[in-house]
Amino acid sequence: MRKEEVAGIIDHTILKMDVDYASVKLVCMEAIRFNFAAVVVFPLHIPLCVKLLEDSNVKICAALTWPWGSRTKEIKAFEAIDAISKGADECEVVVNIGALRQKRYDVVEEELVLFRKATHEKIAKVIIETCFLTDEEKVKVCEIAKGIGVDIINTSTDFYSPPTIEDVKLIKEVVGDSLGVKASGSINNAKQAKLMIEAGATRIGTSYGVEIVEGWVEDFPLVKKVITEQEILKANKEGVRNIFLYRGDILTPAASDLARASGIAIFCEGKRLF
Amino acid sequence: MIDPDIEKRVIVAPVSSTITEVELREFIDEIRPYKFRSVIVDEYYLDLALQLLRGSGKRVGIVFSYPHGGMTTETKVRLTEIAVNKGSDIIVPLNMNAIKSGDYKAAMDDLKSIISTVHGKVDVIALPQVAILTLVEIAKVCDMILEAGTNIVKTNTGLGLGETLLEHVEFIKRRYKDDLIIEISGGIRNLEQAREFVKAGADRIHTSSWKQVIGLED
Repeated sequence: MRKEEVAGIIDHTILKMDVDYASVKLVCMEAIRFNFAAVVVFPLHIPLCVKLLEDSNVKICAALTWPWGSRTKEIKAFEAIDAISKGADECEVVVNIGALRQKRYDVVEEELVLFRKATHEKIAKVIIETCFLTDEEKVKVCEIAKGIGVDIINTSTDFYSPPTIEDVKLIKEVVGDSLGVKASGSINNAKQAKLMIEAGATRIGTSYGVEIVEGWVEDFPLVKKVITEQEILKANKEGVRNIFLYRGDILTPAASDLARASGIAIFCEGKRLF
Repeated sequence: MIDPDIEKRVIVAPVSSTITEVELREFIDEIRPYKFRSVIVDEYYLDLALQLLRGSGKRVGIVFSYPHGGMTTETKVRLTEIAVNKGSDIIVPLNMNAIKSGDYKAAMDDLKSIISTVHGKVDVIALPQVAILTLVEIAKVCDMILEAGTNIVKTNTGLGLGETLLEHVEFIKRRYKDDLIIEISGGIRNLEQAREFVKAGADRIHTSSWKQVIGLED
């Protein structure tokens, strides 16, 4: 995959509280410069994005009910219609995870039917938040979404734990090529993005689109990075909850114990070690 | 031993991404014996919470646009209509994007649209997330909240996006005396802390550590 192709599947995301208009503008300018697929913003940012992205191919994706899906189907549909009327090209909604966990598949189906209707011909994306679901629930929600004909399944809000490559592979297995698969959550560098793409992701949701594209190479050279206790201490101090290792990296036993004790999750080549 | 003065100030919020109906029922059964001020839920569970808490002496509220305040005014107004209709208080995260840009007018218009929908029927709790604001910004935001027409401010979302400090509460209390009702949230975990905050001027306490905060457990 070439750099330009990678850029073309990136959903450049700004879903933070302490952003001002200038930060939203910067994200839009980066999206234009790198030709990203879309910017993902809160609905209240849409009018500003419409102005900034007027002459570009970059789509505007509204993050609805983000990061929680515990709203009624009527409000989810209302928010989608409102976002589209303001200029959104795509809508992303979080599924009702509480209902899903309680096997209330009827609730999930009804809300997705209404959401699909509300988004009409625009792109409809559904966030399933893989970290909270059993494999059975992941499969079920993907089947429901596929049956209704939403466009893209998104693994995560990035508010909780990131998806594993098994999550992406499982979703791909269920939906095949009929739906898109978006991987989101701690995809902060080109290597992580590549793992997700190889697992089947057709979109990458990230706030690090620029770093991913600039760091992209066809074949990543083997870097023998050694993760020591000091690095774990530093990560803990900075509030980092997930650490990602790639082929060739080494995690020392002491660092491994410390990470475990600190509740930091370690991922190796996209698989969660603990 | 339970401190009854703190107990009546407590607001609990069984709100999370994953909460199921069963878990909400269990939670409400557990807190039922205590004289808490109110229970906050997400909109999907509003009907159930109202039904379960009828006659309990506790108020029910919903959160909007939580925790980022990223909804449009239109969606916030729609949620307000639903809440007013059912008799639920509302916690309204302000338009932080406008506030962080110094655009207080946009943030005020957003809040005013909501308040004008309420007609004084339920409590409107404005939520500015003080942890990411300077004291100058907090003063501007509180002025704006009062001008928009409500007098209740909830300091933070309490979702790990920063804590409320005693200095925040003291500052708001010193500046507004009894004109503003101060609800604190974010990092209140025990009785001693709760008493300190009340002494500093806090009126109500949002907490998930309610057992420790009221003195039921250490």
